[in-house]
Amino acid sequence: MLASRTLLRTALRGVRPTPGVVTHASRTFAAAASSYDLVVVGGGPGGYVAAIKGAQLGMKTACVEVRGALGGTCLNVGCIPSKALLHSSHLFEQANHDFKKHGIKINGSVEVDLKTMMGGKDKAVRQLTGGIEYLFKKNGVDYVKGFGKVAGPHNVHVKLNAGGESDLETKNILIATGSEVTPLPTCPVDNEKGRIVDSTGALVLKTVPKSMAVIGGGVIGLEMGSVWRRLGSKVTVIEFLDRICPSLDQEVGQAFQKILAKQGIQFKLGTKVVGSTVKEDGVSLSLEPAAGGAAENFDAEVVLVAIGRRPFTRNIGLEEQGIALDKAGRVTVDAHFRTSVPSIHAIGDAIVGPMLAHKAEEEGIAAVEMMQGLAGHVNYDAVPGVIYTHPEVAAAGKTEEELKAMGVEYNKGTFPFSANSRARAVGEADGLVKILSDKTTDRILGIHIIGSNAGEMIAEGVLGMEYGASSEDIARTCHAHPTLSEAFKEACMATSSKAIHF
Amino acid sequence: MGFYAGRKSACLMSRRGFADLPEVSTIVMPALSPTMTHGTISEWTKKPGDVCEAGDVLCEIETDKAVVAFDVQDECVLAKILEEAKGREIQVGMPVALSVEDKAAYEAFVEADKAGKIATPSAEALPSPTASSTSPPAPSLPASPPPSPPTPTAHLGDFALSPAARHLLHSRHLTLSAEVHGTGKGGRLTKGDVIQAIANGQVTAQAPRQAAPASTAPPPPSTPPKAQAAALAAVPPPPPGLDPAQVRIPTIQAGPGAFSDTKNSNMRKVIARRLAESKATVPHAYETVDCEIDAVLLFRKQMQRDFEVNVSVNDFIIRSAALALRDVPEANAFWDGPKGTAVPKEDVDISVAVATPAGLITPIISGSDRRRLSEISATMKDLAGRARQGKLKPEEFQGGSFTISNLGMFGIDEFSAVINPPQAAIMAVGRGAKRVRAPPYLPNQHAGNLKPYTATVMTATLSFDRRVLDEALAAQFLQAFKSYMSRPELLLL
Repeated sequence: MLASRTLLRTALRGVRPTPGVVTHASRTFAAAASSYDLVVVGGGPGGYVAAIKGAQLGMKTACVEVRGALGGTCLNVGCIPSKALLHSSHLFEQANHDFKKHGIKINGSVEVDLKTMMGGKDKAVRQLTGGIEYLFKKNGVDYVKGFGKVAGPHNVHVKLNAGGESDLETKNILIATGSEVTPLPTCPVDNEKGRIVDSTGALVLKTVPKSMAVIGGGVIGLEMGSVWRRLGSKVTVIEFLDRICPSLDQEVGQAFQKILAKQGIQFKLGTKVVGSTVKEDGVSLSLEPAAGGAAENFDAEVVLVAIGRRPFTRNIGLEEQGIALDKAGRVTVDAHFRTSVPSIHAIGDAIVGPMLAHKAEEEGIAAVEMMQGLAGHVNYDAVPGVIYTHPEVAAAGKTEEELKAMGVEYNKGTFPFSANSRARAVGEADGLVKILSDKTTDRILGIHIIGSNAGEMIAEGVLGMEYGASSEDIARTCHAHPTLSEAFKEACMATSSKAIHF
Repeated sequence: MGFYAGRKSACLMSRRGFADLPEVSTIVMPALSPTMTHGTISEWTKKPGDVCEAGDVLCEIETDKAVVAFDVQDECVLAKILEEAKGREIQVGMPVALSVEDKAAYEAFVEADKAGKIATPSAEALPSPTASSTSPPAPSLPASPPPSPPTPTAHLGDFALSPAARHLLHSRHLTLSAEVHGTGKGGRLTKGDVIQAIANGQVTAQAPRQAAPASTAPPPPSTPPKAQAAALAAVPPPPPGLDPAQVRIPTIQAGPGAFSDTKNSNMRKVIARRLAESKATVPHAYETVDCEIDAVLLFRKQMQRDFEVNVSVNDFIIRSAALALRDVPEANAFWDGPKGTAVPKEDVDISVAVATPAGLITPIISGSDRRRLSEISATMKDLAGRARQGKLKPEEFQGGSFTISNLGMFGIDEFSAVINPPQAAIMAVGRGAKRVRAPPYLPNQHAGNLKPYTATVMTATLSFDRRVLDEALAAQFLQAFKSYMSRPELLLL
């Protein structure tokens, strides 16, 4: 035993695939023809990014994806198509309602050509998924089209889409299988039929429904609800809790709800769906107050079920390897994203944390870097979240409620866009910037924005938080005039001293 | 955490080979939990020279959470223990021991170590993935990031200080002590770091402060840092109009020594003593008269314009008072305390109050009744100049029989002064101000014909020693003074 181990160690001693990389003495098998350093199961934003990074770090990498296109939920039925529709519908809304106040008259009526709109969305998706395939080729990542299952600590078994099976031997396995829509038993989804749909179905409706009931007042429900409201539907959001987007800072959440209500979205909060009946021309929902009470009937042409997403981690071979899942179905991992089997890692929606594409990307890169002995790092305190309605909502760090619960003393500063020159000049004066900073050190702890470009604006704040910036630091940084960013600066001024323009 | 359920395996071992020395591996403090940053070795179960099989316990490590057995992954021989049991807290990733491959290597190691050829590894040689904030998110306190070895920030140059940190330091003319290191990214100094450094006294003042009182020595080294810090960090009162909240540092209290003590000069001490004595012992009485000085002003202008002779209104006042004192010699007297009587003086030596940076001083114009106006003017200029420089001879300001104090140039309308003992009186003169006056009553004049007029009026208040002068005499003096001031041509007589 000792002799062979010594020999193996001697053999591996000079091996350094890349500078600065420590070779762990992995001593279980000799190199095989189709063996990999890394097999990523799942080609979504977490998976494909990890695969590309792995390849860039010198690992022989393969990525297994069953969908038939890379990019996961995000590119195919999530982020990208929804943002495309949000933009198209926003332009339609502006043409219909805002143009006239800018002195633009339209002779006749502005109409929606849904087929073309969907076509544009599909084209964007196709271009992007194709782009990732190109990136795989460019970086030398093997794209395996099939359903991958963990078959051992160093083995992924793939049922190929084209037929047949394949076994991939690998040093490391990265689970990036993402998440799926959480079903609502009282309201089963049938995207084909198109009456009760989930987000995937809501992205491909053939006609604009006259009325839409959105079950779930979270990000996805509000975004899709906004799209169809702008295109002409009467949208009602049915939410179990007493407020929309419960993870938002409450002050911001309330302001957001007011704005959406002003736009015409109806809200039924504190309401649960206890039953549904699909009819020829619509759906009949049976609603009850969340605390219990008399049922009421609610009809809608289309119902969107958007109560959340859950990890996609069952029946992919994890249980057989003794890898624990928590009761939400998330894979348990350590600080290096390793499961209880050291060669099997997991990231993204499959593990704990906000279900965001960029969070999965950061984890994918960190996990792969750590596999190579580098210092991978994810700063969970500075992960932004964005809601792409109009105006957008963006947040990073802690909410006021979280700070209160933690007993942390904080300073608060807010600045409304109604006091921002640029916002007024272009007629987009809804929303505010809210900054929370530590009372003693003034370090920024939380940023919350409602504004037309909140999703872009939050980047400044996240960068500041990465550098441990105080609100005064940003207040003392020059911001161009006239821009919406000045509102960010002024909110920081309001936090550490006083705003000038409000 | 799923995997680390009790026993831990050694995670990081790096290998270094030396030419003729045995290959030595470094064993580092492992991260036994995602939140672990430091650990102590509670017990070494192996000693140098022991063969360690895979799975043997090498040592027991105490973390913030538990005592965990740290076992060997690869077979080796423990060569040297670098950190003793029950010793200091060791950061994750730092070396704790050295090991070699086998017994033979160990013999060679011992030899080499005796010869001093084994170098203790430093932390930088080892790649150490940071474990602290990479754990999947859990609610964490937003306190300062976990302590890390100070990162040199020389390469950051101007960017080592964040904008707010820079503002804090420079506004207070402070520099940070060398041992202060930043908790911002890459070792940058944040606003919080500066606030903390100030509170801990880890700052030095850049500019010498006027606060140091002359009588106390510079603070001795044993001054507690907080008091010293408080003294240094006490912000001078913000200029009027600045919101104090703009310059707040929440935790700084202004301690003792945060004000300045100006020592009283000798001059001020003497003034204080004498005036207190005067007010307490001399019975002061006051009389006021208004003088219309338009004639004086006109006369003065004419002298200036026609003869290029510059005399000030004050010179006129001095001359008028001098002649008035000649006319009412009782006012030119002093109280002889021992004798208990008023003693008149021959000479009219008028002390004229001059404001200097050191205090009020009264140079004397001797024989002022015998001096011409221009002479008075020249003497006054000379005395006042030298008074302000503190270059008067004692006889030039000690003595005098009468004092004039003029606050006209300060815009004072009227005031009363304190008598300079042993003088009998002091006259306080205000500014000449345009006032509307009623004409003097004349018999045989109809009230309806009286028309108000404007004149430049100067108010003179005489404070007199009631023991020397009575009201009637004081009135006489003031009337004489007034008549000279009203009709300057009388000064020629």
